[in-house]
Amino acid sequence: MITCDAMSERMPAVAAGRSEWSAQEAGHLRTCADCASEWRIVQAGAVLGEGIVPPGSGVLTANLLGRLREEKAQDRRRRFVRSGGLAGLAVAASIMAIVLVRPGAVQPPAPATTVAVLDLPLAELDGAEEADLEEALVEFDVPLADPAAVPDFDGLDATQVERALSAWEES
Amino acid sequence: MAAMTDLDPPTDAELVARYQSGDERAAAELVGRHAPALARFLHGNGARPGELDDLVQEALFRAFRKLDTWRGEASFRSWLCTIGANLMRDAWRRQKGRQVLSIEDRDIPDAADPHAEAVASEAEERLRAGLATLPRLQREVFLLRAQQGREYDDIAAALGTTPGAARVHYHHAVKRLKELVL
Repeated sequence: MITCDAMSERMPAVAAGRSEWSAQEAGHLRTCADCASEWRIVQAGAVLGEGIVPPGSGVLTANLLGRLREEKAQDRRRRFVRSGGLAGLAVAASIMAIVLVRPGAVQPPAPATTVAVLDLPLAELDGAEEADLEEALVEFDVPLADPAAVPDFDGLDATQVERALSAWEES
Repeated sequence: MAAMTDLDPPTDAELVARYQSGDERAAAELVGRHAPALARFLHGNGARPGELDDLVQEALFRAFRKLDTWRGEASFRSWLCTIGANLMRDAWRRQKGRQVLSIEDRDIPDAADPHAEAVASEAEERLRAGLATLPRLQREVFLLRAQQGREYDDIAAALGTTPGAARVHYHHAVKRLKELVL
């Protein structure tokens, strides 16, 4: 006994030419309107687009491989920029530095030496005449204390030195 | 199970492995083996003759870009066809944003195209028009089953569903097409 479900299962294979109806199945198909209509649909589906001719496989393959190669190349460039590019630049900079500082290497021109000038404003001297400035310098050159007034500590013991320093500080 | 011999053609899985290890001739063999069926599937799915070549090219490109995601649960043919179907769906979504296309506008081949006229028999056009009215899964399952001759396990793996659900989609599609086409 052939069931409609069993017929339905077999239809694609028979429509594709991979199998044939048995005598019993063919008989079922003649007497079952439901299976007969399904068979017509499946047959139409099996040959749907049979006249479609895609581009030659040589052209398709050439285009496909070309696009895949191009994409791989782009990926490599992106990866280089992301990870290796900066490291490469650092290495290149190191090489440049070694080349430039090695003995006998051509040195780049040194920058002009500049000396910072400390500009201390002394407002009270700005308008002074040259003679007044000389006089001020002489005054600055005067020793802080008269050498004769400084006691001779060489011959004193510790108590005498202590007493002399105290008296000097008080004066 | 028949023993493999040197004369047996390589399987799709073997060709994929060969391509991945750098053999570009394996890619050529895969393209030659599957591109015609892919074109027929896309035609049945509603692609216009004028856009068919580009769709085939793009579907192959997308498939080869993500070859490492093909695990062999679905056959290479079914997997490739579903990539093509997804590509068409994306293209239609983008077109919808620019202009409103009726199903008829989208699916009836360009009458000015002599190639389309040659292949578009009346019965075929009725079937294509009927397919265009089906929900996506019903249409794709019907095409994979009736046009490509795939088994339900394979179809289910390609479409991310179960064999039982694929069977139900197929029977709904056939029932609806009987009403529309016959």
